[in-house]
Amino acid sequence: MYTIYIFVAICLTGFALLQAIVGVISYNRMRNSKFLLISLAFIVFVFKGIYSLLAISGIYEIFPAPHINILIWDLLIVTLLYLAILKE
Amino acid sequence: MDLKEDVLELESRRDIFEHISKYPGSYMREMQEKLDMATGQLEYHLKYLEDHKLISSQMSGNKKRYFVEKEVNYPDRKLISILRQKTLRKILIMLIERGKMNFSQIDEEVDLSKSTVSFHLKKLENKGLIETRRIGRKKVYSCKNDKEIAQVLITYKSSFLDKAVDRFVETWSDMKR
Repeated sequence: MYTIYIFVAICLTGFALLQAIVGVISYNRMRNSKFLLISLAFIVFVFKGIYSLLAISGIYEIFPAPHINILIWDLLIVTLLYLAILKE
Repeated sequence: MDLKEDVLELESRRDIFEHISKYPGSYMREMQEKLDMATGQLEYHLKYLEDHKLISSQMSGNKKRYFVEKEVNYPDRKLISILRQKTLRKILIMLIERGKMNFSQIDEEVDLSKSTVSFHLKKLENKGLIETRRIGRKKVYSCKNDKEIAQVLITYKSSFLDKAVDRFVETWSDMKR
């Protein structure tokens, strides 16, 4: 089970990083703040992935209440995506 | 000739140009076989490319061999960054081929929301690639430097990253629709 968690966290981080890179390049080319917000959401995803990896691999104790922290990451991501939808 | 044929024509020229830059000294029959093109069509495109100084030819024995011109002006960064974006590229190709178009004509061809089309047109205008004129109540768009852009489109190669960015932009830009 532990291996699966690690695998999923690595995949999440990797894919999020790829999307974040493409998002930043898109913003750079289009200069549309919508893409910046989406890129930021993916960057938060990357941090969430790294955080999950650290939490799974035992450095758990250094973070207080990891489940709540993950909820905060999610809230940030959803807020950024919502703001992106509001942008023209 | 409709837009699809026009774009295909441009693509054929690009294929020929790419073939010659990859295999300098190519000759007609060889290109005909490799590119699967009819003689007349190939001759027409080769003449276009030669007239626009993108390629040159040289007789060698009884064969006319083609080379990419050494002084082909590869595009400046500003233009290439615009042409990397599929929608902007599509709008420019339409304006080159049709001369003048109003907003609703462009909007019909580009399958995006009106606000996105307007955003792209504003961008092209700000970069000095297109100009607008009022004819009656309608705003008409035209390409400013169509010859230069057409040449760049022939020599332009889209990379994997360009395609990824295009898809990202397409996916997210019309989220609200």
